[in-house]
Amino acid sequence: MKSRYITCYLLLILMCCPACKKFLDQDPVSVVTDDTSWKTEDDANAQVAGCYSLIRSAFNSACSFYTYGDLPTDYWADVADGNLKNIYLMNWAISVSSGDIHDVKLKLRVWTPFYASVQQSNRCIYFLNRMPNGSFAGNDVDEQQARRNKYLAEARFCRAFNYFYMARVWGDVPLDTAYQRDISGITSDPRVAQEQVLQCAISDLNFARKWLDYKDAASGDRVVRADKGAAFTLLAHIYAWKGAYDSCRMACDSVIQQGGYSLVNGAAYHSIYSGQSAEGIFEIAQNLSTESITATSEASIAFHTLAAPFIPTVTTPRWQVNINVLNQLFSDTTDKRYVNGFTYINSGSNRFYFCKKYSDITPVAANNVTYYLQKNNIPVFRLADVYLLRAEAKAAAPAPDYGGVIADLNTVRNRAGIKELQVSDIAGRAALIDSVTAERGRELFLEGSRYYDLVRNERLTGVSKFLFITHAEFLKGKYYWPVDPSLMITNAGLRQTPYWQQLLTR
Amino acid sequence: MRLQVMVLAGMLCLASCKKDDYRTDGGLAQTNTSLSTYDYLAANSLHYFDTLLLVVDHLGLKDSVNKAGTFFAPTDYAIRRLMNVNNIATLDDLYTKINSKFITQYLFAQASLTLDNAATSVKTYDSWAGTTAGISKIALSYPVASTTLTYYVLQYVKINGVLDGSTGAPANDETDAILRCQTTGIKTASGTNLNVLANNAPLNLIGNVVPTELELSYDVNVPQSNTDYTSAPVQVESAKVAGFLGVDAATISDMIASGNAAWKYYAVEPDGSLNSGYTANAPGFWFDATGKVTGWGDNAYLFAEYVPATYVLNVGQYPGHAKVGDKYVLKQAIAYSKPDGKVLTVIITIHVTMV
Repeated sequence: MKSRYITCYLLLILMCCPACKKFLDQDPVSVVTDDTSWKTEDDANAQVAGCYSLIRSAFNSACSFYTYGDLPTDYWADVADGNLKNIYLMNWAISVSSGDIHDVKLKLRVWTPFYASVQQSNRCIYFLNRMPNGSFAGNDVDEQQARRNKYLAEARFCRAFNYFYMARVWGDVPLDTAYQRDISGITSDPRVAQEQVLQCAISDLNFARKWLDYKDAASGDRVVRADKGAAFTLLAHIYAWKGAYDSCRMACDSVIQQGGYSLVNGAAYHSIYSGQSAEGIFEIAQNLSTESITATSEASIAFHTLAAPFIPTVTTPRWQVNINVLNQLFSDTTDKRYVNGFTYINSGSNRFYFCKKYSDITPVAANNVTYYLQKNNIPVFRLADVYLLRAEAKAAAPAPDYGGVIADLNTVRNRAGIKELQVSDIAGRAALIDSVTAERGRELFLEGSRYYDLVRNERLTGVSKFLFITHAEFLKGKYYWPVDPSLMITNAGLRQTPYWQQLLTR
Repeated sequence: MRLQVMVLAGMLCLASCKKDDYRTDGGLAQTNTSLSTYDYLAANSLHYFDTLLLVVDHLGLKDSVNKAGTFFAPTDYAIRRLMNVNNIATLDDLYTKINSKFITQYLFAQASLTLDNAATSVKTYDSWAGTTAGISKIALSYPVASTTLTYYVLQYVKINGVLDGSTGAPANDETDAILRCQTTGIKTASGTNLNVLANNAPLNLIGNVVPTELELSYDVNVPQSNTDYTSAPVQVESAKVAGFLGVDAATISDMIASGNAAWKYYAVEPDGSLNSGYTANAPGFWFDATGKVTGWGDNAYLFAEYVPATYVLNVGQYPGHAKVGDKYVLKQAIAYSKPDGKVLTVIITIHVTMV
């Protein structure tokens, strides 16, 4: 009796097994994995596009492009949100429970989103090199190889971009350049000297500029995907940050002379921020309804800096522009950048100024609720930036070329419709450098640039223009962000940024 | 033993019954209060309106607040924000920059300005400050699980230029400022419909333009003499001067006497220009027959010498130059350059009659 039962059970189990196997071996239809991808050139294209998309995620995690680049500067007088006000005041060491994942202080001290993009670049490089030549379009092996290299170049551009961005924010960062199928075994990934990180980025870009072409004005991907102009601009920025201004100037020359870009007309200033203007060099795409974010979410710069009538639900701008600095920068109020870039809410006695660059707001009504989509690209690099970077490179030389600097400044000033500078207006090298920084402050207001501009200015002039960093603190490296202690739980080799070591544990 | 257990059990039951109070429906929230508007604000358990009431008391508007049909009450937070953005550190400083319109712009005769009555389009009403303000409501949304809750918030619209969206508005019309309410529709015992403005509401600092000049005028009879430097004293009202300049009277005396750079005693020439070059016993001036500053000599008719400690201006004559019955006008000024760069001036005009 008992043995019959056992036999029955065995039979049942035997019958089940084959069925189980089939069920478990189903290929998921919708999920892209490394095993299902990397077959065709379309796969390669989509995977490389993922690198850019992850940069966008990193920039949107806490409106990071602007919170790193603009918030802790003299642009602002007050910030309504308490957490962001601490960022503005440079109280960056306040501890946050690691469970409080919505706290911007935590988000901004964590570099994980940038490494997600780095990892995607590493994955692309690994798999692109293993795809057969036949996967790529082309009549012969050379053409197919060139196609492959173009994708490799984009992946390496994105990796260089991420490392440069992280190096500006944190200084020394871990350097991962190889694809890891399984990262669970890695227990220690220490920070590497910034010099070495930037050197790696430069070698990536030297590869990228070889295989990418200058801007294809007819392409829908122009500006939002890397080309040779973007690679040279990134190189120029890296060299400027390193203080290698000769190389910076040459990279700028390449962009200005051969990039095929042109400054947009002063009257059409706003088109720069709508995206893919004639002036744009590299932008993060989010000006279509499929990729844009709601203007009332904290990830959007519109949420922080706009108010009515652009977003009727906001009564006064959350980040209040510092009126003294605004008046100082735009002492000429006919400046087209001032006229087109700023407006205010008037309480009757007070004008709350705000920057309206990112004001392509589209109301969308759904279920009786109106949502506001912000359709502006993030303008990472544009031609005016390169002109002013070249001016900075010329001004930084021990014996500056005054005429050359003024000429570049005037190119930008003419477009803005303000008076040309004369060499006789400038007294000395420090004043020359300051006038470049001021012009950058005018031209690139709220474009993720001011903070780094002030760092480079202080390195050259030795005078602090930060509200909350003294020169002594600057020399100790206060301007490099701390890393969140939560990152050290899984990465035993990680050490805190030097200035913040006493303030934030480990 | 058994009894004890029963009693204990009974007590336990009673105790647990008490805890069930929360199950009893307390009814709908009451919008009416038995307190007057002023008292209701004062009774706020979080003291949200302490500063507001100090301002109301200072302006003497307690009755107005109680009698208003509707009051859009700003909280202390909103007042603090206003003071912050205007670099106002103390209430005394605030009081110099506001008049009663600061409060009355948020007072209305109508008691009907409630969220229930408001529409999404703006309707305008006249406030007790004589300004026209818009009242409307705006739809906001809040995500709840997989759906979205829409709710309405009452708004006070401070109209800049013309009402936004009105026909024929000029292209460069300023955007209206919006002050949102965080609480609405409290009916007070004194008949006011009380709405509370949001903590971050951008208030409007209304005040008379702060005067930078105070004019004082005095008449004096100076005895005529052909042999003596006769004079008569003019007592300047020290309280008025001190009150206007915002500095106590004794300090002003010390500052002028010690020649502090921020303080100047001037003669005002007939053309209005200020002259600080003393020509009589300092601080003091000789004037000619037209009121112009001159040196001691043939042209000199009258002098005015200021005694800072007592606020006395001694006005006198040059022997034999003026005749009995002649009338002259002498002007002097005390100017104070405040640390913020503003200059306050007291102009003292003296009408002299020779007797």
